Amino acid sequence: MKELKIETSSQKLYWDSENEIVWGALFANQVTEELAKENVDAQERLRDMVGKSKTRVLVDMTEITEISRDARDYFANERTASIQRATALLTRSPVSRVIGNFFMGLNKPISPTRLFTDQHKAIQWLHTFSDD
Amino acid sequence: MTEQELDHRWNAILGMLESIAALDFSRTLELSDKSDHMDAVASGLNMLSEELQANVVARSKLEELVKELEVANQELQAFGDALAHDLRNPLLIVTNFSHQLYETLGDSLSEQQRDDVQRIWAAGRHMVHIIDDLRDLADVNRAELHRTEVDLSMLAQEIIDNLSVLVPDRNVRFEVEPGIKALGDKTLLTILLTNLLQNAWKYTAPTQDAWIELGVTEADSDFPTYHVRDNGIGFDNANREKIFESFERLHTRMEFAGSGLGLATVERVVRRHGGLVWGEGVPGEGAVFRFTLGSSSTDPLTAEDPT
Repeated sequence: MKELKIETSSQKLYWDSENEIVWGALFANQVTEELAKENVDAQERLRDMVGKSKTRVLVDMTEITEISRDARDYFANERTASIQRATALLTRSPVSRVIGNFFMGLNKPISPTRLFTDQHKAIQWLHTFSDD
Repeated sequence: MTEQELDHRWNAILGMLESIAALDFSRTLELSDKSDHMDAVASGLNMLSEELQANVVARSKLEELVKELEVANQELQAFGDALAHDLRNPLLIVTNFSHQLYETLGDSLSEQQRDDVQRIWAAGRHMVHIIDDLRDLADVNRAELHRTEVDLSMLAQEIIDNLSVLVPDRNVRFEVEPGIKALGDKTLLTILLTNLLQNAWKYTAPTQDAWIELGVTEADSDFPTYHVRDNGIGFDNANREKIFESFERLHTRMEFAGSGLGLATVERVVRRHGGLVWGEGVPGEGAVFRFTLGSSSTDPLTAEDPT
């Protein structure tokens, strides 16, 4: 069951206690470095709430239409990797797919990250990583 | 979407492509609220443009840094040259006069005093040696590379002949394959072979029936591997990386004279040629140093045309 835990100015963060996965639903169209930092801060708080050292994260980025280079860098950096065990990115629109591919290709996130259009496959993949 | 809207969006995308082609990365395409495939293309172009702009800025910063480093390096070289020159001359005077003192006053000096003067002389000579080797090392780094066909066999024989003249009582068998040719800078290759052969000469000093060998494998390939082998004191292979570092010595100066720069200089010469050098040793049995010289077009420092 998913429970809303934190809402930032650009994302809702849920805790799925059954799958032990953090769900992020980005609702902002434009993501700046400031928003990226705010979201990573929120993920860190949620990780502390659920008592994990790192969490598996599923982010639905379908609504995104723009993301700055600095924001992509921030999502790919060591700090983000220090709180995420693995990240599945749901890209169900043409724009988010392009953004996702740029993120993977140019920013090369440190923690395991993969793009999905199918939510179930994303969850299956996340389950291949230990939950702590 | 009307045909007019579609035209407008296509024109915007084409305009963006023209800007990118003209290396103008300041434009950004506005996305519609449709999040369709055209928006995906526009979003991709925006990110591409931003990425290219960041690369241009980074490259320009890098170029500035390279220029600054070049200036700093030139200043450092000038400083090194001046220092070497200003140190070497007074040091030579100290060394020569201490030797003269020993020669002229030797009989009237006590044993302790003779020993002291000799130590001044030896230390002075060692420092002159280090300064000369440091200058050689600096020359190797900055010399322009002019590749020609060099007869390594002949070069090595000349070096060994000179060593034999300097120390006539040493009986070292020198085995050299005739006609070993290399495509490289003759001056630098002379420095390389001199250092390797001097090392072999030095470290075979305690060996009965000492021999030194120069050879080559895969001579007809693009990357022949040359070697200098000896049956001297050898070394422990645990030190095989360390021996190419500046001032790294496996023996004390009392055991074997030297500045600790010979193999570092060898490594630089080989690196200038785009090759590799490595050594293998067996303590008490000998050592072999092998090197390649890269392809004819390789010079990591100057990328100079071999012609």
